[in-house]
Amino acid sequence: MKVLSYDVAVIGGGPAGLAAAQTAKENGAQRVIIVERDTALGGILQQCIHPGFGLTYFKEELTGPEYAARFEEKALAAGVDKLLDAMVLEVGKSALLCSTTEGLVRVEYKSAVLAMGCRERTRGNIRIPGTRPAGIFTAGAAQRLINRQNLMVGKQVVILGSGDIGMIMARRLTLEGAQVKAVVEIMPYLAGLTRNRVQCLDDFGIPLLLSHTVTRIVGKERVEGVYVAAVDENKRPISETEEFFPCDTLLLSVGLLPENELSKGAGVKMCPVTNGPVVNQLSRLPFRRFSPPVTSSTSTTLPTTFRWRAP
Amino acid sequence: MKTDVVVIGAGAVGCAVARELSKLKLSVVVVDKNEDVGGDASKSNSAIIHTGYDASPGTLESRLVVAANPMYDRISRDLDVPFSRIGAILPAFTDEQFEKLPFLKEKAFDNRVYDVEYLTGEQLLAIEPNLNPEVKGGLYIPRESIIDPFLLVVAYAENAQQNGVNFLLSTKVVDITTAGGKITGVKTDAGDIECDYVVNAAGLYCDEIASYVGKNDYYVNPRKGQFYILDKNTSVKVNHIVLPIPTKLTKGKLMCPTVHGNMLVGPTAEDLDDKTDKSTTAEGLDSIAADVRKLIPGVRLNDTITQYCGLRPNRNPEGLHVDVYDDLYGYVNLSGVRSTGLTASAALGVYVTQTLIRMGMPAEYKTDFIATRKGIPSFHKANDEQKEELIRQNPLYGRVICRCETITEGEIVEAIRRPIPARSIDAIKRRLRAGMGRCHGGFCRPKVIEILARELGVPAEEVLKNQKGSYLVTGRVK
Repeated sequence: MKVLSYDVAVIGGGPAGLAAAQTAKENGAQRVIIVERDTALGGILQQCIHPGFGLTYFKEELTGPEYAARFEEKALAAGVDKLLDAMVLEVGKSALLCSTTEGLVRVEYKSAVLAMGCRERTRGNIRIPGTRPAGIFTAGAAQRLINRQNLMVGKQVVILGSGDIGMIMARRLTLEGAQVKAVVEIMPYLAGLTRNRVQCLDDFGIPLLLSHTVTRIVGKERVEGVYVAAVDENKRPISETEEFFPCDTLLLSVGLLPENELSKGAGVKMCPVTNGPVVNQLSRLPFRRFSPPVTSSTSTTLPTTFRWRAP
Repeated sequence: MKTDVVVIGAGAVGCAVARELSKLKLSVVVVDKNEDVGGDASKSNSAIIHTGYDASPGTLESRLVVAANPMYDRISRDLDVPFSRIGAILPAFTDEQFEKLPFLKEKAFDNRVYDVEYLTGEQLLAIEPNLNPEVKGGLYIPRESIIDPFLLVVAYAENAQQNGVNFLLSTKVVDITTAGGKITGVKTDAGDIECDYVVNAAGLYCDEIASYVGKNDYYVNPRKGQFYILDKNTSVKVNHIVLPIPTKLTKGKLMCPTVHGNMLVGPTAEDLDDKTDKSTTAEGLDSIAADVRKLIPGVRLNDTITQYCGLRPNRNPEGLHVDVYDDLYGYVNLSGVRSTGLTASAALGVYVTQTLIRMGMPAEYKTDFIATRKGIPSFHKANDEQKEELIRQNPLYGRVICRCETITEGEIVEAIRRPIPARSIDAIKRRLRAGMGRCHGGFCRPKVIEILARELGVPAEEVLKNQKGSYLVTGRVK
C-alpha cells in the first residue's frame, strides 16, 4: 500500500477544504494535502456555473468554477498537494485510508480537517407519498446532470423548496427550454435569498407558492404530475386546496444534511440537533487529533467542518 | 423457438423452479414482462424467511413454508446470498394478547414448528431492549430469518442460467396454445415458443395467464403493503423480527432489521383492484407509525430514507394452490403465492419439478450441474488486502461511485456484464445497493447514468430507471 505522510490532511476539496488547506499552509504547516473524490478540486462549485460568486472576496463577479479556480491557484501556489479521484474510506487516529484506481493509499497526518460538505435531503426523507417513477431529482443532482454532464432532466418541472439551489435551477431549466410550473415552499417565507427570487423566479415569470407543499407524486414509469396543496399553520396540507400540476419532473430543494459518516467512524461525537459534530466555541472538535494545532495563534481560523451556502 | 419447458414469471418462484429444472436434462426458458428478474412481489416484501409457525395447519402453504425454511442455510451458502437467522419475537402487551399466546403456540405445534418458545417479559426485554416495557411475555421463534430478497432471485436466476436456462425478459406472454389436451406452446409479444410444459408462476397476473387455457376459476387482487426503510444509523434498532400479535382482521405491522443493517417497518394490508397501483399514501404511512410504536415506542421514523409499497397477489378464493389438470397435459398452475412466497420459493422449486415429473416429464439428472454461484465481489466487505487485490485486477474497483454504501465502478460494470445483466438504474441498485443508502442516489445516480450509457453503448436518454418509458434524462442540453 502506498503511504504518504503529511502534517495536515484535508478531506474534501470544496471551498471549505481549499480555504482550510491554504490557511494551514500559510500558517506554518509544512506538508498539506487535500484528498478529493472528484477528478477536480472545487467541490459543488464546479457545477455552479451561474455568476454571483466572488463579490465579497475578489470584488468581482465570477462563476462557481472560476471562483473555485482562484482558490485552487492560491492553495497550489502555497504548496498544497492534492490527491484526486480518491475516496477516503476511513479516518483513523493518525492516518486516512483512501481508495484510488491505483490502489489503496494511506495518508498519515498530524491533523485532519473534515470538510466533506453536505448531502441533499431526498424525497424519502420528507416522506412524499405516491409512486416512485423516474423524474424525481434533488436540485443538486439535476444541476450536476445539466451543468457537468450536459444532460437535460425534463421538460415540465415543479420545484419543491425555495432554497437557493432550487431557485437557481428554476432559472437554469427555463434557459434550457423547460417550463417551470411552480416553485413550491412549505414555509410562509422564502428559504433562499431575495436576490435569487428576483433574478431567478420573478424575471422569468415563475410562480412561487408559499405555504404550499407537494402532497402526492403521480406517474408509473416517469413522473406524470404532482398534487400541490396549501398548508395550515402546522404545515399540514389542507386537502380541499389540492391541485394537480401535470409535469414530467420534480426537483427537490428541501435542505441539506451534513456528510458525517467519516466523522462518526472516527469517533467524533455528533450533535443530535444539527446532525453535525459537536464543536466548541472556536469550531474545534473536542478531540485533539482533529483539532488543528498548526500554530496556536491562528488555529481558530481553520475550520474543522464548514457549512457552505450558494450565494 | 423450441424448448421443453416454459416458466412464466421471473420472480422468486419462477426462478427457483427454473433452477431446480436446470438440474435435469431439459431445455428451459423463463419469460417475464419486466426488464429484470425479480418479479413484482418478490422485490417489495418484508425480506423474511418464515418458519410457517403461523400458517393454517394442514394447508399446502404450511407444508411448503415449513419445508422451505431449513433449505436456506444451503441455498444462501451455495448461491452466495446474504441470509441471517436472527429469530422473531411475538410480544404480548395486553391481557387479551397474553391470553392468545397458548393458541399461537398450539398453532405452531400443529404446523410442526416445535422450536417456538415462551419467553417472559423480562427475558424478551433482555434480548430486545427497545421493546415496549409493558411487555407481559411472548413467543420466540428462533428460525425466523432475514434474507436479501433481490439477490436471492438474481442468484436463483444466474445459477439457472449457468446451467443452461434461457431468460427472455421484457417479453410478455400473450397466449398459451394447446392441441388435443396437451400444451403445445406459448405466444409472446416477441415471437412464439414451442414447448411441452408450461409453469404459470406469474404471481399477481397468474389469473390472466390461466385464462389463456381456461383455468381461471379464481381471480387475484393486489393487497397493498407499504413499508418504511430506516437509516442504518437510526438510534433505536431491534435485533429480531418483532411481530405484533395478529388480530382477526390483520397480521399487523412489524419491525425488523434487514441483512444490510437498515430497519424495516410495516406493512399495511389494503385490498385493491388495480394491479399497477404501487403508490404509498399518507394514511398508510401514518397507520404504520401509529401501530409500530405500540411495539417499539422509541422508533425514529424521521430517520426514514425511503418508503415503498409491494402488492401481494391475493387469491380469491384464498389459499396457495399448485394445480394440474386431467384435461391439460403439461400445464402447472401456481396461484395464491402471497407474502410467504419468498420463503416458499425454495420448496416450490422442488414441488413443481416433482409435479412435472409425476405428470410424465422425462427426468434425467445432468452430470455436470453447477451447484454454486458466486456473487459480485463486494469492495465494501473486503479487507484491505482483498481491496488491493480487487483494484489490481480491475482498477475501476478503486473508484467509489455510491458513497453511502461504498459501491465502486468496478462492481457496477460487473453487474452490467453479468450473465443476467443489470441494464437499468434499479437493476443495479437491487444487485449492489448503489443508490439505496441515505442519499438515495442523489450523489451516485448521475454517475450511474453515465456508466450505464457507456457500457450499454447507448445515449444517456436511453438509460432507464426500470421499465420502458422510465427515462431519466431527455437528451443533451442546448
